Amino acid sequence: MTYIVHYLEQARHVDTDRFKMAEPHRRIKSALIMRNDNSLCQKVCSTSRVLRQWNRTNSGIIILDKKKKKNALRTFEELKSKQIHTTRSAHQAIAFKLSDIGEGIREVVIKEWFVKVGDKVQQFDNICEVQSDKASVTITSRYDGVVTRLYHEVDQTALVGQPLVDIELEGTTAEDAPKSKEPATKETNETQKEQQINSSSKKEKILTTPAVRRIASQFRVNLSEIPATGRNGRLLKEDLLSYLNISSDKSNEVPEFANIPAPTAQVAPKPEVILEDKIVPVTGFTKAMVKSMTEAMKIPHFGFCDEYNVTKLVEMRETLKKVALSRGVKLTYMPIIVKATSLTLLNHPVLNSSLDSSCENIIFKASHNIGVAMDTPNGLVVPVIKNVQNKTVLEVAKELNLIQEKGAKGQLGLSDLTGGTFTISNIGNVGGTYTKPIILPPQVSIGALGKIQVLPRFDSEGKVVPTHILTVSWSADHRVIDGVTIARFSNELKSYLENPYNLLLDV
Amino acid sequence: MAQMMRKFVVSNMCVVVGLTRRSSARSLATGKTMPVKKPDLPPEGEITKSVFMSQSTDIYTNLAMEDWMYRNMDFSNHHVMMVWRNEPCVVIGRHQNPWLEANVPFLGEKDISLARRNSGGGTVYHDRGNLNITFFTHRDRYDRKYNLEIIKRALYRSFGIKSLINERQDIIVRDKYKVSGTAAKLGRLSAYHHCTLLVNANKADLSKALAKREHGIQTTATPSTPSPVANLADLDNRVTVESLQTAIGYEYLRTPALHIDDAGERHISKQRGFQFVNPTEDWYPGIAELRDELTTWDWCFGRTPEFTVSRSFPVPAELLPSKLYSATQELIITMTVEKGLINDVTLNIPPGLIESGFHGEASVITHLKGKRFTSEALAALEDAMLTRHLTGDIRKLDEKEQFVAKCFDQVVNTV
Repeated sequence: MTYIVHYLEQARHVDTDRFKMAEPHRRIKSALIMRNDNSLCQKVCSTSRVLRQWNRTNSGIIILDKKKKKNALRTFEELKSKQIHTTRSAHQAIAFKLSDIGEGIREVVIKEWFVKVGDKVQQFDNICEVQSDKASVTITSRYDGVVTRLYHEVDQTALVGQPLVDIELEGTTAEDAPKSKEPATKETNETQKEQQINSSSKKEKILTTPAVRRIASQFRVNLSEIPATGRNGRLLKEDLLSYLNISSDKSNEVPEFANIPAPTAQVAPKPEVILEDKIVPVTGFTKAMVKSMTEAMKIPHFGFCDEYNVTKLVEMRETLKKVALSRGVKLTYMPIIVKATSLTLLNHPVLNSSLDSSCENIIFKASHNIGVAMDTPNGLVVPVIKNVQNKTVLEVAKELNLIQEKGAKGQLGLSDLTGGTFTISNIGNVGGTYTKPIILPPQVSIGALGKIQVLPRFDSEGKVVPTHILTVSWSADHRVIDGVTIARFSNELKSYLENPYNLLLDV
Repeated sequence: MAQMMRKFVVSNMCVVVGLTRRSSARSLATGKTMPVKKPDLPPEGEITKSVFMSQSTDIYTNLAMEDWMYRNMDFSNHHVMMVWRNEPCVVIGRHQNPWLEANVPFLGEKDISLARRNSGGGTVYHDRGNLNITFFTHRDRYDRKYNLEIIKRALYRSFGIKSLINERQDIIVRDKYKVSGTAAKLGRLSAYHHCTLLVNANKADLSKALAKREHGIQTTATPSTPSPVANLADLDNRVTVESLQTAIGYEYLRTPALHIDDAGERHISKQRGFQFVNPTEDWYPGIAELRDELTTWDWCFGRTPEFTVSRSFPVPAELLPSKLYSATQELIITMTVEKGLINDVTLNIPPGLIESGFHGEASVITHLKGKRFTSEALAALEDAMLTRHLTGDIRKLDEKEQFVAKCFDQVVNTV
């Protein structure tokens, strides 16, 4: 049995059946005041906070934790003054009556409700539809607020001039902070103010309630300067108020700047400009990345890097570019590299495999679905080109173009993003040489291509010639793949890319 | 033609004005909690009238047009009367039950559409011999009696037909025949009142389409009150839809906006006159969406308030194992239908049928839940019974199951 219900039933000031409906919490508070029972108030602790929370969740029963009861003892005076604060502010629920429909109609039948208890409504929103013999009337709201009670059910008769719904009006904004109406905004306001207060007293944390902090920030008072009289060094509201020489009633009003009393002159001269930390929730692509990368780090990675002399590849691509363009395809290095990788994978199928979750089986995947890491406006995605082993370079290029377009527009579908068996990341597009890419589970290896740079190298005759160098970095799952496999794989791919004519033989 | 176009342009401008006015009123109001004082409506002398004649005969398009005008036009100083006709269809009220009001299988056979309108009231049958009239005004100027008076005066002035308006606000001729039904919808700013006029409708089809059959439905949906009807053409064969349209139109235009009086031809010339209206998306953006919503199954059938249908069928003697049972064995099927979908099915199977080996109850119930209350449910039921048989080699329903299926069919289809 909850404490409040129990005591109130004893008090018989509040009809508990009505209490169980969406009755404002002020009724209970007024009941408590009427009781004037010191011991009751001590036991009914955290009343305001709990009642506000109850009002928020709109449930009919308050559960009081016995442990919490001991933690926050309040004197009756403080509780009472708190109650007076909160009951003073406008929190009215207006009964919205059914207005005259016309034609001398006295009663109508409710046919449909468009709102339910707890919904926020604005003026002119539809509330319900009523029907009177042949006229169907849409009743719209006259107020802004929250619906707290529906007086009739569907198909019941409502009388003209009688209440239809109860709407709790939203209080005016200024003196609003301690009320529960908009708890979220209040909390953010308070965290901001708290930070401001905290900035001036960085060393110690003063134990106070949010309400006290608000008042302190309002009057620009440094909390550490106020003598605390509460238990464990808490700063009670009375301490603050007596420091400010303001009576409890007036502390609710927002003072004009001209009226701020003398004590504020003693306050630290100017609050420092605080850059606030911005809190952005992790959603969408970032969330997916967090999840997959956490999974990925369970794999023991090892890296292998090499540089490829791609001078001949560069020449080949220049010539092929025009031919491809005439066929309507934009040819970059990526499709050639992807196709070459697929050819190499034919000889090293273990790199195109997957380790099952119990680490008992290696599944050698038949198709080479090569994922190409892409940067989109939404973040990193890895769309997959399926069955590269069956596609020509031109087809791969076409598909790559398509995927890039889709990625830029954010139209990549689930089929585009799943089913990959190997991944290549072209971070060199952006910059960089050697990286340590992270494997995308359930794959077992990944490659990252750096920038193609023109660097001086010795050719076979010992002369220094400018060569196009492509740096590649491979990472592989050491549970399945050993260094030699990767090295051989890399060498084979190197031979394809350094001597692109070799591709002709195997394509 | 140019004159009509000009008038049309004027009325379109009126639309734009109406829209901006509305939005500014709203932005003023949201900051405050107390009600905004309503702007005063213009006096009678400033209100002009027009008659819109819809060029569409599709019920859904016309209903969408009504809805569009109700939502988007400002009628504070412009009253409109729209006249329209439809191909054969049945129109039920907003909160009615189509299975209760109309003979749905017959409608399917004869290709008669079923539509649900936005205003309340009862069910009507429309065809090309039926004229529909809608009066649009501002919410505060809504006056049903005034509208019906205009029709009554037009009938008398042009054709000499005497009629009276009864307490249910129907137009009655010869003291008992109903020629018109009426319904209305009131919103925050605008209101409309529409009625039908039977000029030369097919009464045989009308009675068949609206026939109430034995159905066993219990519901709280608005019931219709049936009454004997007559065609106006039967009373005076000069009456045709076109002539009636013109007559009522002129009567509407010559009457001042707020009280019944004869202001004569001079007054007509001050009004905006007759205009043809083509309810297409180009002229009225947004109307296609409204129309599509009206054609969906979910709106026509799915919007039905929850109801229960219960029927009992006597089991034919040959399905029973022996002739030992003296009392008549009855199979009672009860279904609750919510939003047009079958929610709950209860079968009361008489002991005779169980004994003779009918085991289908469970599959019957689970397969029907969530299906639409049409033959779709029946097909699902038969499928369910068939799949049970696949384990054996019998590929068709045995007689008992056929009987049960037939009973379900009757519940769904004769309703």
